Amino acid sequence: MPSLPQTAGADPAAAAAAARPPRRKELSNLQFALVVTVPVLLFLLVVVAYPLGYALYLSFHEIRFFGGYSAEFVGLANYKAALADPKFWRSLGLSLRFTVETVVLTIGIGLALALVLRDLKPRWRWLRAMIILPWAVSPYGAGIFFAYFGRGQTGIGTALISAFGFDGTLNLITQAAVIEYLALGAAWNMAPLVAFFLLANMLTTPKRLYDLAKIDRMRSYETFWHVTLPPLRFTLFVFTCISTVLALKTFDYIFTETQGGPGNSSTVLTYLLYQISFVNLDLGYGAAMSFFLLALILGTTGLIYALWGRREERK
Amino acid sequence: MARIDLQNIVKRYGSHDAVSSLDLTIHDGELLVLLGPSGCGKSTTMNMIAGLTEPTSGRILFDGKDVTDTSPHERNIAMVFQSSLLYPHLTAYQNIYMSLKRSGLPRNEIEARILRAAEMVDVRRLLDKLPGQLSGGERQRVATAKAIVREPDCFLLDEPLSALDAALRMSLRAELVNLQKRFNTTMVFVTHDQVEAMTMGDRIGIMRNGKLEQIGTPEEVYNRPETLFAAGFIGSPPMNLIEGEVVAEGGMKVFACKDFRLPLAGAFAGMAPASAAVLGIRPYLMQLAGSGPGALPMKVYAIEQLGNEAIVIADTPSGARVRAVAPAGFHAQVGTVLHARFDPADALLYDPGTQRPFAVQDREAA
Ligand SMILES: Nc1ncnc2c1ncn2[C@@H]1O[C@H](COP(=O)(O)OP(=O)(O)OP(=O)(O)O)[C@@H](O)[C@H]1O
Ligand SMILES: [Mg+2]
Repeated sequence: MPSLPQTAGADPAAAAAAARPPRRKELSNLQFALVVTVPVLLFLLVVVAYPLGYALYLSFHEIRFFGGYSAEFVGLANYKAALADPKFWRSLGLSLRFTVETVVLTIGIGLALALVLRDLKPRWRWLRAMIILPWAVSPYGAGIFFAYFGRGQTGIGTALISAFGFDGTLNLITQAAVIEYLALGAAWNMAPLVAFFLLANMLTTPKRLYDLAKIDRMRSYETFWHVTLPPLRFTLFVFTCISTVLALKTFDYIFTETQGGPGNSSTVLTYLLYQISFVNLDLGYGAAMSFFLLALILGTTGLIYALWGRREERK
Repeated sequence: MARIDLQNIVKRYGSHDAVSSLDLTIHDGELLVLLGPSGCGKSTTMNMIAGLTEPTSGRILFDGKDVTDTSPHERNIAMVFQSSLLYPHLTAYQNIYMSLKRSGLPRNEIEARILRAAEMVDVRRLLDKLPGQLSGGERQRVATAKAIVREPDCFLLDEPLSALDAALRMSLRAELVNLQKRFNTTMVFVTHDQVEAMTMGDRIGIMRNGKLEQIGTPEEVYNRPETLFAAGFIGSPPMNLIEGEVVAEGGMKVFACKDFRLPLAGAFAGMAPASAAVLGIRPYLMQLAGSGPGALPMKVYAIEQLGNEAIVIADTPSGARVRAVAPAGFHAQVGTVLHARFDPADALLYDPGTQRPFAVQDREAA
């Protein structure tokens, strides 16, 4: 009777389960996360999904305000128009240029700053706290500041050349290099935060590891690569993503600093969108173009993750 | 291969001297074991030899050339750090490889050497792992492999075997000595293990409070400790030290204390009387015996069975703790009074004032 032991074995367990009050089940991590975030998710649904949906609606219509509000369904016409618009491509190029430069400068300056702050003599350690200040300036404020700073009459350029005995003015905000100047200001704004996080990472590296590198007769770049850098890589990845997104969607900083100028030499995608939607009031076209920006942001971060982030995931 | 001279080395941290006026010569091709209590400055000394820590004052010479101000790069040293340091993001293989990156050897030779070193410390199957995935003992062995894969002028090994089990420790001990003798490379080896020190060292240096207390062959430091500290530190079980005085009695010198009186023989029979003296005798030289003149009475405190022998730990009537070695399986009730005898000629006599042995005219002859 092979089935007997099985039933005999199952019975007491079943009886015990019936006798005991049902054991309260622990929430899994995912369940807990859902419970905690439901209110936020609902809120996000309202504040993100609604405008997003409305923008999607707009992008398929031609909106007119003059002669009475009207919305005419035009299908993909707005999207096609954007792809055929040389201004769009030009602004896209400027956005990418601004973003790449900003990210490189932010990460580079942040890393350099962190190295300097790490090696400060104890007497100068208080600088570590001071250096965060630029980050406390809003992009709006930074834009105004850098506008004055770069302008011919008031700027640092003029001050510098007059210090060397030259007469005249030096304008840093020029057609050719305005994007670089903007990127520098954006990096000034963001790099201190990067430096702060990198410094915190650096201070966890055991000093003896540098001794090991010396015993191995590593050159200084090898020491940097094998000892200093590894604990920073995850932070660098995170900040590369963050500053990429921030740079792609920068508007207020450019608005206060150059208004897309001189001429249209700093009309990045966000600024072009502003002009189309809020100056020209061509809402449908602007909405369609904004979806290209959204795709660009998602695409670049996805690319960074695929190329870099997967390798940096904590093991 | 290098002869290393440390001349009057001082290393000061704040107001504390980690190493103070240290003079030490490590001969070419010698294996020197540094032994000493925790915090006596062994690691600091190693770091100064390696060039990682700059001495506050003093000179370091390699083969007579002053290297005090040169960087570790120029000293060609292989080192195992006390904490078995490894690069955390590199595999064991890559970690070992880093030692040879600068060697200029051809690739296949490098690989062969890495595999040989890994084989020697038995970590071949761990070469793909990251340090974080290794046990403490495995990390230590990889760190050792990383050092021995080189052919340096000098090996500096700071407690490289401390986290290993007894069997592995014994086999690695033999491997390291064999390697050192085969290539005749100077080696400084720090350990807290008495057996390791006695069996491995060509010479043993005993450090205390940043100073060299005694340096000599294992036989010398064991049989003729030059200070009271060295006498008590070397040997396991440690030497028995009994306080008393030395008096002259009928043309003989007698060691006298509250517990017993012992007519001196051998070298110390010729010493001058002293109002304070410390008699040192190894537990292995004490035999349990009946009472009588010259026998030391002692009350059993505990007995440690070691398998091949037993160690009787006991208190003399005046309260000094002494140890004697008895045959394996020796039993006695705690509190029993036993007596121990030893040949007076085997005893060492120290002056507690100078901490050194009493001067005798013909000690060398004896
Ligand atoms: N960087 C440092 N700053 C301040 N004091 C230090 C430093 N390094 C070592 N010391 C002190 O110097 C003394 C000697 O240290 P060291 O590491 O050489 O001891 P050790 O003999 O290797 O001890 P152990 O056997 O425990 O490893 C200790 O008192 C230690 O506190
Ligand atoms: Mg140490």
